[in-house]
Amino acid sequence: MDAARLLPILGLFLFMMPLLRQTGGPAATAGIVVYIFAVWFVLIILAGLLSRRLHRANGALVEDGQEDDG
Amino acid sequence: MGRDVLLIEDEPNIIEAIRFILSRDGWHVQTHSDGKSAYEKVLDMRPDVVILDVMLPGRSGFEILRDIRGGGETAALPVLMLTAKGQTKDREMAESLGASRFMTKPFSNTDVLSTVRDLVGA
Amino acid sequence: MIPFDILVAVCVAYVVVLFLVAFFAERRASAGKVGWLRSPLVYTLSLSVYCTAWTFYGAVGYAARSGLEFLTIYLGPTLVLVGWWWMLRKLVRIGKTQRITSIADLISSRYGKSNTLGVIVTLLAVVGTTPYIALQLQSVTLSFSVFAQADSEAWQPTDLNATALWVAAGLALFTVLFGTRNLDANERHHGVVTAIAVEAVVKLVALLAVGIFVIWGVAGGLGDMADRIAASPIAETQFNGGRWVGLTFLAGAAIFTLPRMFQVLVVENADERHLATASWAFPLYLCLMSLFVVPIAVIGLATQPPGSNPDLFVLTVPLSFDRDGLATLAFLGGFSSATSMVIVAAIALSTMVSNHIVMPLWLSWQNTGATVSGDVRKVVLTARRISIAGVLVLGYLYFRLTGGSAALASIGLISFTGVAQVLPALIGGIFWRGATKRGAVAGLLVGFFLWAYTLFLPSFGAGSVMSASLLADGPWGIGWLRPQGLFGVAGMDPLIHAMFWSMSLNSFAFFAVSLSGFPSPMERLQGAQFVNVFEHSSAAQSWTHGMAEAEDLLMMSQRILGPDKAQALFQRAAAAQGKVGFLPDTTPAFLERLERELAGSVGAATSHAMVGQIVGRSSVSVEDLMAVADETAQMMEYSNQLEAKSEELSRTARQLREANEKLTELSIQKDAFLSQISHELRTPMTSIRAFSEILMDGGDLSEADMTKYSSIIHEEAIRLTRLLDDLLDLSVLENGQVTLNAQPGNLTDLIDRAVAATGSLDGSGNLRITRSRATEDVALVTDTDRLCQVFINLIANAQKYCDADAPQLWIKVRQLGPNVAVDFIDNGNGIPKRSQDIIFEKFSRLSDRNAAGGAGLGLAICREIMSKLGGGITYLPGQGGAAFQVSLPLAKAKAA
Repeated sequence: MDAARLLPILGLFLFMMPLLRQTGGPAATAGIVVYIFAVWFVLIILAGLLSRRLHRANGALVEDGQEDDG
Repeated sequence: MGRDVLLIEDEPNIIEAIRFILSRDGWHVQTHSDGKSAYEKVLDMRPDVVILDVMLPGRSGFEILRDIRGGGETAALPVLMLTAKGQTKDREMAESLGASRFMTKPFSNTDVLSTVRDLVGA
Repeated sequence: MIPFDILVAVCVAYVVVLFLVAFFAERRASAGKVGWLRSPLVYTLSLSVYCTAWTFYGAVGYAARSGLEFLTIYLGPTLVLVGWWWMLRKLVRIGKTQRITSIADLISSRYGKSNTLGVIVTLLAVVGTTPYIALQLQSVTLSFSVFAQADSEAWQPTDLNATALWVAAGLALFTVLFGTRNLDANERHHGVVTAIAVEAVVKLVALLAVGIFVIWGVAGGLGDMADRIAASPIAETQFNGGRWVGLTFLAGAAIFTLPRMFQVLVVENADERHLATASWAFPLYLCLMSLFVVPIAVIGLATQPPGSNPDLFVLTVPLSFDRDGLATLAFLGGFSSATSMVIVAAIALSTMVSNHIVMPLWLSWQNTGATVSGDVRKVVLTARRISIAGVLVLGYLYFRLTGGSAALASIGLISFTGVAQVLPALIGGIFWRGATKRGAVAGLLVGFFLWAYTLFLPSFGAGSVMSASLLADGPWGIGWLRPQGLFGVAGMDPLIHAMFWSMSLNSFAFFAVSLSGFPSPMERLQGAQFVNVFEHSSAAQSWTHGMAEAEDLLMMSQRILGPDKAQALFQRAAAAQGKVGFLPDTTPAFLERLERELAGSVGAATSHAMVGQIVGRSSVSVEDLMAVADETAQMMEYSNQLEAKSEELSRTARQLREANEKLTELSIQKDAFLSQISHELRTPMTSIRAFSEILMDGGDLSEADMTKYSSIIHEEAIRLTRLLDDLLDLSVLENGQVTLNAQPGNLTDLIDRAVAATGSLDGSGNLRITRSRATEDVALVTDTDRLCQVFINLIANAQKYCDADAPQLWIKVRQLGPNVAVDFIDNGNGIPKRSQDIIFEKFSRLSDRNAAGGAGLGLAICREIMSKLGGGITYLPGQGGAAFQVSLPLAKAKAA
């Protein structure tokens, strides 16, 4: 659960990394594109793993969504 | 047909009276006043009839009766119980413990005599 | 180039397919076979309404204009989804437990079911979303125009407006058909959601197809593409840090504050677990959607004639390479993006409008109350349908008025900023219990105003709404009030400027006003429900008194929920209360549940108001809470009383038990006493009777015997008399009937009398008495006869029971404090320790040595006498023999 909370912070940090690069050049732009998509995929994979683990570890964290409406 | 009576009683005047009544009829009366040694006295003397008071110093008549009924040789010994308390529960107690007869003080002399006679079948 | 007619035909066919999909999904759902309709996949795909035509067409245009910045629009939502555990989970849970129907409903419900807030948020949403809808209409018409340009015979530029109108009308029809089938907005719109999921797939496939075509069809694969990117103007674009951060934030906020996103994310959510899947699947979707944006933009810039609209590269690039099929697919993708957004936005907005504006108006217009007339169901549905039409009409009008001039992306961001104004109230509302309605209103109004002033109105262009001089110099020439340079902040990007000021002042107003006041009771209750939704997932305790007529409530509920559902609800509630029939007791719990059910149809505030009209109260007031508190206090007092009573009862019971025990004990004592008395009486009588009979019989009795027997009779008669005397004496003493005859006397005299009475003085007994006459000279005022009786008894006991060979008795007189003590100590064996406690009890003869004729009453009588005289008698252990101490208060003696 703590990992689930930390993940977006990690993502935010990584996504903001390009801001630290002061020098902008044609080559840099392509690099940034690759970098961002790489981070993106890593985040997706981590989130996927986390959701599976949360699911398994804590089946009761979610109640059955529907109230019985007859 | 023996005519030996053991009177277990602690009141001297009553002892005197019963001894007189029975002796006059030809019984041999021995007396004992102490509850504690009463049963030994019974075993020792082997009387034909025991007249047993309930209120005795040292040991109650009921306990002595229980011993008499419990001992193999004395189990069938005729026992006439006397008590001055005269309450129903005493009579019931005596009957449940196997007293042959039960009489309340004061008693009639002829009743005592006839009961003793009865008990030995004379 | 495909003919325009065929394109229209394809488009119509596509729409028909969507209708069919929605129709069959709806059919399946109503047949109870929800199955895959409720799968996490469908949920995730439905979230793709986030990707509108703005994304589909606009992202490429955005990239062509501003480089990588377009990515922020997807990175924000990605972070929020990935961090679902923080907030989305809570939002979804709240949405479920409180049966939230829209974001306006959420805010309204959180702040004490305030309809004011509902109206504000609804207006904000409508104002913020209308341009967005216009944007979708514009993109569809633009995409039509792309095809039309090539087929100019069939298409006149003036037809653009007509196209937009047709599209708007078609969307309105679809939305009304599938969006207002169920009244309960909290129920899933299976048809709509399924159609949107299909559209989501279409737009993703279309964009990927175009992207693949561009990389491997136009460019020479990945390597070539990278070179082209580096060579393109996009690579030259400046990287603006402020916008990068600001837009990420805005997009992140938009993912749940946009009405349509809230609709699919929270309201349409069927299962919280779907959120876990969406947490990675939706970012994946977004990632794929943006994967080929840069390549398409680069190729578009490179291949399309200068001045062509980069927003349409997705269409124009395939067209220019004569890929008609691909272009058609891209067209359908864009069409899907636009329509799905409009449909969901229309549903979300219409729910808000009907629940927060139309229904309250209708209710107040129908001031006779909800029970009396009208089919509420029909009213709500009509309101919702009209609202849908109204929203689309507004969008169309906006499209017409602005003429579709503004760049798509900027409209999107303006909209984002507008709805993001809800953020402080929303976040504050679900994480901070101290947030108040006034704070929320203040924050929203400040944010709304600043947004309109600094961003929305200027977006129409100088001279349209705001004059050029106002924009340049500020109102009335006040420079620091310039819409795009507030407080003298100049040179900032207008969007970031607006976002910064509106969000910060909004938040400031929200927190400041919240902190300056106190939430009302209702807000407190709801606040607790929202903030601690995971601790207690139940609705607010809002109804304190069940005064409503169940029948009225049933009538009203039938109108809103429909007869079947309402009756079933009431029947279940009645059954749960153990009642038969349709009318349960209107307990707070039932009212609360009913209100929640109704809230699913008409929103929390309206539902609360409707039930309130019948129940006779519309909100929880301080008085109510006081009443609850009073009740609680009364209950506590009552239970305290009960407790006291039960304590009293148990005390009484204990006393009774004690009394009973005492009685039982007394009864046992009485039995024992009677038994003793009987024994003591019968024993002498036995002797008397026996010897009497012997004497009566006559016979050969000697003279000596006769004398002996007569004297026995005499002796026993005396014993009997003495016993009776003792008994009477004791009885009198114990019953307190004795009258004490107090008179002065001297202890010496009394002891003299006692010794004389026992016959010890003249030496006839063998007991030697030792006295100390000097100490005995104590003057007394007491009942001297009784005291003497005690002394006699003690001396007689010594005579009877002292078992020494030379019996001796010491009588010692001492003064012990206020008392005078007379000790009687003999030299016998004394009394065994275990018997010392009982010697003063009646009939407590320790042995059978009753030759002296004692019945065991002597010491009992002594004790009674001494207590009557105000003194006492105790056994003194450890004196080498039997020792009794008689004590008498000296004070009393001296007073005489």
